[in-house]
Amino acid sequence: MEGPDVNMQSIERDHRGDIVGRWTDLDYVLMRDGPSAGPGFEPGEDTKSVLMDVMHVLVLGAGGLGCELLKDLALSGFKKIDVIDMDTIDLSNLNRQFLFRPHDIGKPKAIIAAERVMERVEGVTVTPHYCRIEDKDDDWFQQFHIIIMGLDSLEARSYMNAVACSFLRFEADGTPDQSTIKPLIDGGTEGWKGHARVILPGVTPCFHCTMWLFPPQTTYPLCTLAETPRIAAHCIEYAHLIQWGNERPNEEFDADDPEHMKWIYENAMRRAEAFGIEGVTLHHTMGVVKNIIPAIPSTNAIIAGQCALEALKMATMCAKGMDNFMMYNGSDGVYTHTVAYEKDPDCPMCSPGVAMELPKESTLSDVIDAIVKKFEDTVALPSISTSNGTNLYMRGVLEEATRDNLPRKMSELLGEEHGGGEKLDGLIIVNDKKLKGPLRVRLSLA
Amino acid sequence: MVGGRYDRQIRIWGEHGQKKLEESKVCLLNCGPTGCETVKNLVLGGIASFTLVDKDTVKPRDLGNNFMLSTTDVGESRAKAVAAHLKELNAAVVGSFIDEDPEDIVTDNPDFFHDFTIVIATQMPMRTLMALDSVCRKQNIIMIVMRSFGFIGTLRLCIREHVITDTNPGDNIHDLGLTQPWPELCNFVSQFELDTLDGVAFKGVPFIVLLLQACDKWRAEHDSKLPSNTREQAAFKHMLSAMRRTHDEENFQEALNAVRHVCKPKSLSPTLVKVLEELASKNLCQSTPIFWFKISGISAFLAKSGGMMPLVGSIPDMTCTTDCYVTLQRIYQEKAASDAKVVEHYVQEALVRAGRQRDEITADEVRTFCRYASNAAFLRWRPLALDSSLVREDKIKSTSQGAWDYPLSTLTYLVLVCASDAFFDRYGRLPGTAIDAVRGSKDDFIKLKTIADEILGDHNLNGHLLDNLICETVRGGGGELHAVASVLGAIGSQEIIKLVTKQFVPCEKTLIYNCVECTTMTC
Repeated sequence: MEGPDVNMQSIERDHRGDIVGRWTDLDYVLMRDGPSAGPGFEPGEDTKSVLMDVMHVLVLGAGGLGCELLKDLALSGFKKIDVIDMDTIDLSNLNRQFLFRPHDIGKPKAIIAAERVMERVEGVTVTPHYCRIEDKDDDWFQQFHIIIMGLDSLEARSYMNAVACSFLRFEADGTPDQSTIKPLIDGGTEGWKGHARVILPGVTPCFHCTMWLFPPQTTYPLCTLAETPRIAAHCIEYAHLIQWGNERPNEEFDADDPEHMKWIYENAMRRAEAFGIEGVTLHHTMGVVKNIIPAIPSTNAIIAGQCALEALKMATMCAKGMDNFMMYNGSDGVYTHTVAYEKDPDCPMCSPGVAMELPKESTLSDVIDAIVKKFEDTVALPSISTSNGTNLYMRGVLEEATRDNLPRKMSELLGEEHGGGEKLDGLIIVNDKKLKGPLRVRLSLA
Repeated sequence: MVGGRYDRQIRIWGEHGQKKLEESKVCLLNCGPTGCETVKNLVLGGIASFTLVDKDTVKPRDLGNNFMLSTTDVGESRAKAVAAHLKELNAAVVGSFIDEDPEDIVTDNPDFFHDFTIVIATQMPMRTLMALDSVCRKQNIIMIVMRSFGFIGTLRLCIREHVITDTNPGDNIHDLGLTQPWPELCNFVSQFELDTLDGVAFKGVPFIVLLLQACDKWRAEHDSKLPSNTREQAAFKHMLSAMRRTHDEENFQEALNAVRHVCKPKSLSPTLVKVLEELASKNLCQSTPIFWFKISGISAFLAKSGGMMPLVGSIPDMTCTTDCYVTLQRIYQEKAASDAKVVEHYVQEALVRAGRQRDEITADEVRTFCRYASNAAFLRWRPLALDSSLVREDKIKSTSQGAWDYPLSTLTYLVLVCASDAFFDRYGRLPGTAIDAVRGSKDDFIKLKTIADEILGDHNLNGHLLDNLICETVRGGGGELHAVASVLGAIGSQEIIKLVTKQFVPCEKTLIYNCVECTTMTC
């Protein structure tokens, strides 16, 4: 079944250089209003122009999700897309990363993916970046209107989240300054399961607010590996984590080197036989050592499609956006669950400030100790400044100049700016090498 | 091959699942983005072959929503161009195409479909689908129907019968058989004299031993009965805790977490119960698929064991010494093997009774089947023709009186799909595709609403929802947005993989995907 037959003998082009009639399906929802439209949606050419002429989006990752995302975004009308990926193409990618061919093996994913999408979809510019996301300056990310994450690691997601949150500024009343919100869309999959979510830092929960959603990774106690191995994975991890270092101390283990993998497999096998344990195979060895996440093409396509739709909705308001987390499971029927998670009001990444209460007499030194204690995972050697940029205590070259503040009372240091009083509240900014982006602390001295 | 092209998916459905996928022959009707995305995912997964059927040539409009087409393809046969691009994805897959109207093939040449394992019908009207459904049903061909329009996608499987035989063992919760410990396990358990063990050895006693010794103690004090209700379970836990020496023994923590294993036998899954009911209505004969003989073996085993399934034989990792663990594992594996032997005997008896060969099934096959049997399932899909009668007046009446347990909101979508079809029949175009888009969409709203009201008669479903849906349907103009098609097509390919591998549970009803709400629902 199709709409009216438009018999096109030759290809006509519009003012944008685009083929006339090409966006018929998209035009229906961009040119006409409907009950599903988002707040402030204005049907018409201007909205289409924002999507096609203005929007500049970034895709993180050119793997299973990334390939799908690039395709979906290009065919949703986005014309300026950048993509970052540090990986090269492997044979085991080809069951789902459909932009790659056997002769691409060993080449950078970002570069090949960008080429293939531009070959197929006329008029889109995909700019590849064959590097780590950490290689880019924070300011570089500012140029993108929407950042879409198709990543497979918690660390990379955390990093991007922290960068996006570091752009966030607040009004005096603690509400976020709308112009500083950098929207993130995040997708993730494992086997039949996946999630898609929209993060508007300061408005919806950021990655850090809902860290608990991600289960801890499986690790085995070293004493089990060394003394009481019971299952195949124990023998494999023994060969990988203990035996390799003992027997080949001068070589760095490389999971992509087949000889290294074979060595692990054979030693795990010997250990398993000695203990009467079954189940060590090369397949299993690789799974354990590389922490392989099983993956199928369709789950990536489902999650990437929904992420691209959220980008389209966000850019045009043609439909209401997701609020704010969708999980999908396809192993038993088709199950989705969309939840509006709550922000963590004390989130060190996206809240107006983490509340901390200290005695009125506390010195700057006391405050620093208390901060290090409270945030022991992320803060070790903090620098402290006030919210308007006055340095209170700095590390490095400014250490000497600010050292004298350490024994001074915090109320005094803040009082100079806040005017004193019985109870004193003040926002301080904590920076630390271990932190990605500043940590906001709302001090209350009483 | 380890680390090969299919490594990441073989980790999900195993070599045996992959083999079934590699034997699948797929037919796609209409090469819009929904269908193309479905086949794309299947080609990547490694099906045997695909055949595309489409009557159209490539139009500019295709370039805005179909990744399997490019500017240079405009004017070419759409089936041919898509086939060429799909073939690039996987050299192992054979691809072909036919430039014909799929609706004509359904009407004029239904035998065409007999060669396929799977028929994917996209963007087709209901009356053709109903005809196709009866063709596929006769051959027990897997048929999947998908349609995307605007922000909505619908998916429906149509299969006469389907059995799930070997759900991935990774999904099994370990059945430890602790409510009926067998002599070998009891011997092992009684070797441990907890009071005589030193601190290290005490912490190394497997939780299974702790639980079974606690059970003996409990039985001695409670008339040989196991703890049954919540109160008794709490008391049992209390007793178990009292056996501790310190509070950091991990083996005791594991035992406390596993108390349910001794309190009541694992109940049969509802899907298996359904399979057993279906078995009771069957007369096993020459033509009965072997699956039912395997199930009859399980059924006979259950009758003899008092409802205990054959043991799977795997145990979870637990805090204990290597020797203890390896011995326990051997005890469980030996019991699983002997259970499977019993099942095998019953299967052979059933085969002989049906006048078939005893050796029609191997011991290995029975053993594998026993591992997966607790998740076996039998499914049937009602004919599509019944769906459309569902939205006729009398059925809606019974629905609103609660005779059908479908939420009215989901039924509203079905009404909408039927109304769209009727609109197409009446006006020769989809709602929302009038030449004057803005004014035309107002007219089309009224036309579509009139048709929906005709279908509904006196019965009002959810007026507000229906109006909104009609409005959005007209707005979407029956268009296929690429990302919506991509999601729907991917769900479709997932359903096909589940059906082909017979390992996971497919969707039993009509699925509606709404990309605005980010939800799926079934009706």
